[in-house]
Amino acid sequence: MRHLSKLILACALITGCASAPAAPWPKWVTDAQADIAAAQAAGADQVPAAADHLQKAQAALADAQSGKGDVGLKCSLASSEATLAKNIAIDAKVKGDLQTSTNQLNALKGQ
Amino acid sequence: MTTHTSKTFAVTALALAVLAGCSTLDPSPALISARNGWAAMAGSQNPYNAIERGQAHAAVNRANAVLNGGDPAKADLLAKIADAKVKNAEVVGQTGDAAARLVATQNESISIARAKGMAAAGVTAAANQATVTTQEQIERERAAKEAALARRQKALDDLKLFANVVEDKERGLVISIGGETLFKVNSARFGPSANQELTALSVYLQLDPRPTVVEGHTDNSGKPEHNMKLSQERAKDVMNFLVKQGVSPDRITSVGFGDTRPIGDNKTKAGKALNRRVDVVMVKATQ
Repeated sequence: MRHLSKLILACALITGCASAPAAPWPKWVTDAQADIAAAQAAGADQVPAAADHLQKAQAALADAQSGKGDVGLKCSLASSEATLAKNIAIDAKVKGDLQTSTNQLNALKGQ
Repeated sequence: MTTHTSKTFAVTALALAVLAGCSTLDPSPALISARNGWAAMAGSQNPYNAIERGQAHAAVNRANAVLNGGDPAKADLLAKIADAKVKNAEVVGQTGDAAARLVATQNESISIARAKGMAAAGVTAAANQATVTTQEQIERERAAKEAALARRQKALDDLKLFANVVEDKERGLVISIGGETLFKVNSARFGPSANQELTALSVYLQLDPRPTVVEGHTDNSGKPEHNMKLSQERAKDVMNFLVKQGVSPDRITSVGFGDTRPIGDNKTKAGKALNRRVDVVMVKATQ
């Protein structure tokens, strides 16, 4: 009987823990996630220099989410690296366009 | 002589030990990189990365400041953040320059094609498409920045409904909130209207990335030690509230000044009321 009551108590505790709603991430975690998504949308995966910073952003965010070190600073680092990755990807695109346009201008001048 | 030498040695060793205990951390490679990057762009007038330069400068200052605190993990993270922000400012500046050259190149191509009697639209179709894509991207970024500035101004206007906001030439933007507005009398516990007002403050702080110091101040009633402790607790409580609301903890600190920095006359009721306050200082960037 005593074993049964202990078992019921244990089950109740486990159920209570399992059904407790997960605490929402602080805003700076969701901000960092959004910055990483923006970098991916800008094509940071496809530009080597940008991909390096995107990986650093993802690593910092993973540390923050697992509670390693200062969560706020890790997220701030993740956001900074993701923003840098996004802007490197945009820069690569603009400079590629500029090269195409310059080649075309030179070809026109030569005609 | 031997005694003198050993005494001298002991004193020197003690002095070195004390110095070692007080010494600042060595700058990490990331901080050195950030400092060098910032030094190279400090005098820049590039119009395309003005906002990012400001963010980079604030981050470098913050990373430099924490070296004296002796927390290596925090110093390392702040150095990496500063380095990323400096590099970001460099990239954004370069992108702006490249985009301007792209537009100029494109216009020159069209002019030449027309002068030669060619169908400009046909000649430049591919490049036009590239330009449109690039321009759209830059325009989206620009629109996002403008929208952010508009949101920041709206949040500042909301703050002015209950706070005194002053742009101080020396300190930066000072948002001053009366102590009675936020706290119960002679206590660091928040009063009933604090939640609404601090939430409005946190909205503004999240739109203005400058380093921020929360300062607690009291009037001269009571003992100075009590006033100092109360002001420190109040400043810390405000800071903790703001961090919980989403303000990044890497840019905000708190300090209590007790009754040492009055702005009103402590001989009058009105003056005392002015002195019981919390100042939130958005630190001015220094060159």
